[in-house]
This record gives sequence, C-alpha cells and structure tokens, in this order.
Amino acid sequence: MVDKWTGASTASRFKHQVFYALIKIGGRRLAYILLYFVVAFYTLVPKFRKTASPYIDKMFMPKNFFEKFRHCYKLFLTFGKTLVDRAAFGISGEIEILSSKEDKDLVKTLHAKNKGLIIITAHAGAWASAMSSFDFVDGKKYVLYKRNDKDVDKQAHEHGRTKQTVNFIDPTSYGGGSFEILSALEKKGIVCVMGDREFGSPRNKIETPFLGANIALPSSIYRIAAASGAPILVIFFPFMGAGKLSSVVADNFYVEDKGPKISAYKPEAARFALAFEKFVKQYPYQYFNFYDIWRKDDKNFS
Amino acid sequence: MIKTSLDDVKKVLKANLSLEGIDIDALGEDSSLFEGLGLDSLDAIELVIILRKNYDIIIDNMQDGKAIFQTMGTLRKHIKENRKK
Repeated sequence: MVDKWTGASTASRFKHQVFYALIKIGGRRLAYILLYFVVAFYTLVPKFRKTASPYIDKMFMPKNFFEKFRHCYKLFLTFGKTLVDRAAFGISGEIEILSSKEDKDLVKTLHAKNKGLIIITAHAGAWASAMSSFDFVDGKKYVLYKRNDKDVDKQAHEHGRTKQTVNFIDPTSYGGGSFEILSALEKKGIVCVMGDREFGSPRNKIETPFLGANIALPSSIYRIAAASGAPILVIFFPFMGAGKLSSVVADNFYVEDKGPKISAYKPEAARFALAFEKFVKQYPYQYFNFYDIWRKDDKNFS
Repeated sequence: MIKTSLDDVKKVLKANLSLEGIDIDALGEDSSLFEGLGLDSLDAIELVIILRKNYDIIIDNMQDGKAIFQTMGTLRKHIKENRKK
C-alpha cells in the first residue's frame, strides 16, 4: 500500500516523451490510442491497482475482483486522458473550458469585493489543465503547488507553446507559503489551493468525514481566509471529453475569524469535504487519489 | 504610534500566538524564533497576521520573512522601521 502521496511520476521521462511525440504527430486522439494499452498494462500490475484500491473500495464497494479491475481501469484511463489533455494543451494551446454564466458572474462579483479570492479545488477531474490555463477569472493568479523532484511529467507551460499564466507558491518552503499567500490576497490576487491534501506543519490537519470515514484535510487556508477576509470559492474541473473541461463552482463562503486555534475551522473543512464528496459521486472516475487517505495513523492524522 | 520595545513586542506575541510550553518572557533579542522556539508554518501565518493587524506591515515573500523572523531582535527592528501604526 502507498503510505503517502509523493507526487513522483510512475512512468519514466522517456515514456512521457513518447506521448508528447504522438500528440505532436497526430493530436491527442492518437495519444489516446496508445493510452488504452498503457492503462491496460498498469491495471494488470497488482502494485498499481493497489494504489487505487482504498478509493475504489470506498467509492464503489466492488463485489469481486473483476468488478474492481473494471473500476480501476476506468479510473486510470480517465486520469491518463487528463494528463494527455494537459500535454496537448501545452503543445497546441487548444483547450475548451466550459463555465456557466452564473458561475462566472459569481466569481467576478466576489473578486470585485477587493479582498482577493481563494479558490479551493482538489486532485480531481482536469485540475492540471485548469491550473495551467486558469483563465476563467481575471486577476493575478497564484497556485500553491509542490513539485516532486521525481515528477517528470511536464506542466502545460513547460512545453513552450503556452505562457505560464500562474505563479507557483511552494507549500513546503519556509513559512509554508503563508507569506506569499497573504501578500497575494492583500494585493487582490487569486490564490488556488488543493483542499484535499495536507502539507507543511503536522498541525495543519483537520479530521472530517469523506465517503464514510474520516480523512485529514489541510486547515491553514481557512485560517488565512478568516484573517484576510478573502472569500472562498470551491471549484472543481470535471473532464468533459477530449480537450474539454468544465469549471463548476460547488460552494462559496466567507470564514469568520475564530482566532489562531486551527480546530475552530473544522466546519469549513467539513463544508469543503461535503462539496467534494458530492463531486466524486457525480464523477466517480475523476478523483485521482492513489494513496490511502483514510489510513488512520500518524501518516495522515495528527 | 504603537510602542516597539522588546517587551512590547513580546506582549503582542503572547496575546496572539498559542505558545504552549514556551516562556516568551525569557526570550532575548538573539532568541531564534523558528529553529529555537520550534514555531512552524501555522505560527508563520499567525506572525504574518499579527504584523498586519497590529502594525499594518505586509511581508511579501519567504526571503523577507526568513530575514524578519530570524530572531526576536530582527522582528522587533523590522516592526520599528516599517510600522504604519
């Protein structure tokens, strides 16, 4: 079992290069053809299936091996497609982000309050492409993002075709990125964080139910929202097919300043978890969680 | 203007940080904040909030933060030189 998420790529740099070459030659659909075989291989290997097992067990409660195998294949395939799409976006610059007028208006209204904006999302759907393009709202953008040294998969802008439109803040840097986040919000910036994976201080965790059992979620962003007065938007980016993703505002709220005690922000973390659970139930093959977030020991819980 | 003697700054920190097991009164100008006191990223957030709320000081990046929060002395000096309140 994978103890903890690391961010390291499963495939080698060469294998990624093969996909990039196919995209350049025949577009994303040619890369998809290879992807079906690659995903079949990964699904056949028990150690890779095990990485998805905790989520598949909780989400689908499969009755037998074959059912579990099928869910695993579909999950890996959707994940692969989102990665191909991110690369295709980086190489060709083509991507279509669908958002409702209502959601766009809401984002604009909240951003116009001049308190900055905090977008909380998760490792689900086409989040990687969305983070790379991030043009669904105007303003200077920042993404709290830790890149593993063994992550060889390129971000979209690293393909050289698209501009880097976001500034990255390292959550494992000195101060956990807090200086940069608060400064960005002070300047009315838009800060995007992952609400489903904790980083930094071991105290930066709040237990909350998710798919029937408790998980540990990061908490400091709610403290930052409270102190800065910035509104929180919970947005997910479901993959809608080749070259298409959607941005869906699942929730929005302000956080009351309840002081420095991190446990005081449990209701807000639970609110995110609830919105996320609703999302994964609607798009069950779009939560790319490959370690046991429910494992209740010092790996995940304080 | 708000006072910025070492004792004044310590009073503000004491009132706003949850420093369990740390005797803040015993800290001197040379006391290291993060390594010495064992403060972490959540405390960093609180320190940034304290500076903003109490002294109207904004810290832009981790390089500045690292220098400012090195010791009690560097913190006090930064407050004295940059406070807007």
